[in-house]
Amino acid sequence: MKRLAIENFGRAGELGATLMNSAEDLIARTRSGDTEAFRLIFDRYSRPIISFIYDLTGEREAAEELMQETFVRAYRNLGTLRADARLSTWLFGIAKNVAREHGRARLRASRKVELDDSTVTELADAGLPPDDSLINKELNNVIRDALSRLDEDKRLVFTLKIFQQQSYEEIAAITGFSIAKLKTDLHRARHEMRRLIRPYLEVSQ
Amino acid sequence: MKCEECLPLIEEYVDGELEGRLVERLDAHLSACAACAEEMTALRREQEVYASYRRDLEVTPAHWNVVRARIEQEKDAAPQSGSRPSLRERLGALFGKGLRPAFVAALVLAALAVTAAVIYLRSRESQGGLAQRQPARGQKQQPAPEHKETTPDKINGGVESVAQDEGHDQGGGGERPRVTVKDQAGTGTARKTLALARARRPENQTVERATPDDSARFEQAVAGSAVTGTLMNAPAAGGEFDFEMARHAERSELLLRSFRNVRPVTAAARALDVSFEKEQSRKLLYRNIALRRSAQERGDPSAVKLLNTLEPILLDIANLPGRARARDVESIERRMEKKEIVAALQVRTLLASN
Repeated sequence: MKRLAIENFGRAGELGATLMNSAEDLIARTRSGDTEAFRLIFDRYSRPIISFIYDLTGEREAAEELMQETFVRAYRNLGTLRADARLSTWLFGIAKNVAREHGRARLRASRKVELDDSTVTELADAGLPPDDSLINKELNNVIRDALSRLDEDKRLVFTLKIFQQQSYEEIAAITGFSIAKLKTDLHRARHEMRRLIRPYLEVSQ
Repeated sequence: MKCEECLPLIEEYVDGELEGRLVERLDAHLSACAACAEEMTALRREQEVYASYRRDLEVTPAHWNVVRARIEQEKDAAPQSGSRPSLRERLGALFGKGLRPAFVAALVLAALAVTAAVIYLRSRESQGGLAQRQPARGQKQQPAPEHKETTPDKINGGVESVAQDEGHDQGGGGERPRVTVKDQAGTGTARKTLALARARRPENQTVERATPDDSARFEQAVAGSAVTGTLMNAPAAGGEFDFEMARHAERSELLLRSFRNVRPVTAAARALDVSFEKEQSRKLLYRNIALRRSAQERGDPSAVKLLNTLEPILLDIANLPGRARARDVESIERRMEKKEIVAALQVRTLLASN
């Protein structure tokens, strides 16, 4: 019978070992040809991965396709995953590459989606807080637009830290950046984002 | 610590990345400096806004189906992955890659022609012996007891050719001369062994791929009685907050129990390894902020109270150094006990699972 690490979830004091073993277990089972074990990996990581890709690309349909491509590549290359590497870090690394390739292909095709700056500029420059009833709805749009205005490196680091809660060490592993660079990028990204969403910060207090 | 030294560290502090004595020094400065404390509050407020970001993305079973189909396709295309190669691939291996379908078809036809010739010649040479095993033309075939697809060509002590199972490679229709050729040519003991194994295997048993029933049972097992498992099938809209809240409560409870059980590796060791708990706390902290905001919007005071109690504890654990001093760990444990946070989380989890 298939062993499920999640069955041991309730045992106090073993959380760390259980979570780590479960990932290793799933990887081992997938490597031995158990597609359902890989499905569990998909269930666990597909949501953060699709969100991450969407934050990088800003395209919903592309995010869905690229998320699928990420997992196909992960399955294909699972044999190259080092024993000491974290599965989530590795998956984010693949997703980053997939998203970047998509961006380059889009550029080559000269079909770059122009960002709608008007909304962000208007909101940021007006300095007037929007109507309360629209905050939650518009806030999402403002954050998305603000994200799209960050350059690629800053957007990557900001997304991994703020939305995916990766540690500096993990971000360095995913991006290949030095800790010093990613700290600088993150600080600048925060600063730029703060400027763009300031009206909403004031309203949401 | 001065303000100019403190300010660059606030982001790392809020991120739970600051370690060692810097945390103590920063705490001391923040408690004395209103400007820096305000800076930290503003940063946390930002985090709350980002934590509320919703993308309206959904991962559906259809997404997995596409991934699975592509994986299966690649498995089929890669013989070393466990699946048996097709006839075309086996011929390709013999004659080199890049065989065209037309060429393969020609090879198969040639093999059939040779087979037919061999059968014809042998039947003439040994009319008597073969007549005992081969029914007369037009006579209805007697099914063999061990397998439905056993053919009258079966001449090797009950061993049938596995090629029958892979009819997609063949266009032989009702004729089975190729079976005789393979068996008589002794194309491999392994193939015959596999055929025997298949003959003994119950018909409804699968070997290489899970059936949809297997998937369902697997998911059911994952779901189990745990709230975490139930979340996999959580409804998208109405009960989503409750499910997310229950999952967060369960994870936090387990984390705090784990933290409470942290013990020094040796009696002499003063530092405790809390690196795992620290990492998990940092992740739960962000979730806590997002859920607290949702709870406030929904007007759920019990959830807000629970999350407000939990948040500083998570923050303190997240900001511990990887190897924390025992007294720092004990201090957090005492606060956990005083607030009865573990019990409160457990109650929330149990209520959600019932």
